[in-house]
Amino acid sequence: MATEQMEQQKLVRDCLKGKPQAQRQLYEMYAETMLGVCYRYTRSMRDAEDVLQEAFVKVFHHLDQYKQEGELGAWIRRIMVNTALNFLKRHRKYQEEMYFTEEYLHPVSQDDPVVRIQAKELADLIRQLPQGYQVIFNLHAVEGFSHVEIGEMLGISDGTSRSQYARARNLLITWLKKHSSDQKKTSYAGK
Amino acid sequence: MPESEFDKQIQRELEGLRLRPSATVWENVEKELRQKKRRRIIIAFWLIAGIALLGSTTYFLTRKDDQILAETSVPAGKTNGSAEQSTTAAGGQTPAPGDGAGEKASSTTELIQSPARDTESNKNVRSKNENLTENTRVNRNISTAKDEINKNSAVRVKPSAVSQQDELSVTAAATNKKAGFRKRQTSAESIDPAIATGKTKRAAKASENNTVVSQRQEGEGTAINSSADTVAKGKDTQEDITETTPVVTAAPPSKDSTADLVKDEHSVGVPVNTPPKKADKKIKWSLDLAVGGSGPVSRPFLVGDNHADMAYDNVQYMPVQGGGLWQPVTPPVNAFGPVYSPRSDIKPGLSYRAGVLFELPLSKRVAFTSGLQYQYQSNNIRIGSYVNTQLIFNNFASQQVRANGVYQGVQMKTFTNRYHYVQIPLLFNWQLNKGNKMPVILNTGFSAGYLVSTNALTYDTLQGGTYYHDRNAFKRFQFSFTTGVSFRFGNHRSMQWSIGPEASMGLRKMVKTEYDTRQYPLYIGVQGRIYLPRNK
Repeated sequence: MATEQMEQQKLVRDCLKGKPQAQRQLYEMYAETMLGVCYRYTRSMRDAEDVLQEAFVKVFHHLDQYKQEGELGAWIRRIMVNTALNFLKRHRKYQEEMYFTEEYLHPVSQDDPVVRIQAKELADLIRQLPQGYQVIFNLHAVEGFSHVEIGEMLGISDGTSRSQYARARNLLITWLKKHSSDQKKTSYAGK
Repeated sequence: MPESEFDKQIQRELEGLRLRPSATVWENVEKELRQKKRRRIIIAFWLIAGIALLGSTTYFLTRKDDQILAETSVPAGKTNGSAEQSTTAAGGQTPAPGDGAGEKASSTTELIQSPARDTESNKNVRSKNENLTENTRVNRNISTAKDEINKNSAVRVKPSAVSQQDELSVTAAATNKKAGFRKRQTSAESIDPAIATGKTKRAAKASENNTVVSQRQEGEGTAINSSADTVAKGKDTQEDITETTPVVTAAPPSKDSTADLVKDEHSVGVPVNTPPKKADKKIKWSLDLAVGGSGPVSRPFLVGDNHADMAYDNVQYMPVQGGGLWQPVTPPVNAFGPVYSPRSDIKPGLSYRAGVLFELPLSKRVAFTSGLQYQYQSNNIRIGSYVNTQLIFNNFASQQVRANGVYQGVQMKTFTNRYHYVQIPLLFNWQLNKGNKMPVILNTGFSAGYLVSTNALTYDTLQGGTYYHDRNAFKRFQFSFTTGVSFRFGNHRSMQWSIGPEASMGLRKMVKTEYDTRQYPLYIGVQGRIYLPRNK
């Protein structure tokens, strides 16, 4: 563990020195995971890659700001999320869908279905949510931000965040149930 | 925070989501990082260039008139001689009031000498002068001269440049002119002529001969200084006076000059000059050698964006000649499908320079350098396979291009674009520090270059991306801004040499706009000069 950390520190130092090999290594180390993050916030793979590219440029430019106390992956992930949010705000196709209306608090479903779906399929389902729901669901359920934090990040009230999250969650549960029943039907049909 | 089991499951699942990005993502990240590095270099270049320009300008605008004054000054001995002789007559006779020689000398004598330098010599002279019995009379006459100086508008002395005793000589002479002369003969032995005349050869000679009689002026209003105690030297006197006439500099009198008269009254009439330091006007010849790296920069002034240049790189569409329409290009196809070859990254290449320069000193710390140089610059690109075919086509900007052979397809090979320039530098060298131990010199200026030959390739989006060579695509004349710092060694030896970093940025595009995107040559390297020994 300590060796890993030392290696990581050395890698960061080399990146700071501008060594292309180290930069490449750091990119290879995190690119796949981070593309997974970007993918959840965007509508297409191309947009996800654009976000990834932009975010990695930021990572290398601001690597000197990384204090080697926390985990590097978490720091990079935070940059990915912020870049993705900026990307959504910047692009018109996302802007229109990112309009958050003040809504009454929607009750959170007590339903806790078992998720029997692959990560990629789950991500695809999340991407089908309305953009506002998608972002809030990702930020809260996956990244672990509180509604207050989300409210600050998106410039909305925490109540709106809660409400949108509840709606997103209900919608996703419905889709998951439908998805699992469809799968069952397919498997019965197969038999 | 995930609140329920469902949320936790979602988090677990999605944390494990890994997707492989396409290769272009890293390529673009790398490209951006390189661009940023290049931007830093450009900023550093212009920062240094700006400082160099600002420094040079400030120096030229604020530099003192010392050099100009120094150049107009006259060797000390000669001037002193004439000053002394102002009241002497040919053949040992004192000139009568209104005598031509005496008048000329009195009205024209001015010595340029710094007061600080005079102090030492004044002390020596003062001690000897104390032996003079006429000192009291001199003192009295000084006060008379002091009164006269304000009245006398004919003789004006520049206060900053003229030493105190010189002022006195001038003042005294002027007074003589007005008040007339009464003469008294004294023995020449009572005054050491060498001292009195500022140790000039002639004075020393006069002292040896002992035949010369100096004439001392007497009576009120007659200024007495060493010029009155000096020796007559026969006919030479008049000639000397005539020689010194053009040296005069007119300047208004100041209150200080009068005050100084009182302070330094003991040093009256003992003008001792040190020859002023002049800039060595000899031309220095040197061999100029430099080595470094070079590469093109698309935005040397960091203005505008690259969007205008993007059309040059659109490998999928070409403009239709004569209209604003675009049509898809037909790229070469291999087993995997159509092959588009985007513009290759340009990597810096080796650059070196050799030449002969001459350095013309303009002042003690400023010199002008020019000469003739040969400069080789290069950069590296990746290209596809060579296709030996003669092509005539209209390029992106509808310019007809004729190419004997092109490079197309997957970019597997490295190609070195080579440029051979002959150039004439026009540089100003400004020594930043004082002293000769190790001068630090800021070199700034321009170079006018001519592209003698090149093998460089030009990119076009033809058939999905093609590199070709067309010598007409390149601009022949280049104008560069050059700046650098050099450290000069061996300043006290016959062989001098200097070394230091330098950078140069082309101010004209290398490739014509109708052929390719903007490219300005940037060179960064280390330059060295070996100064040829001079014959002494």
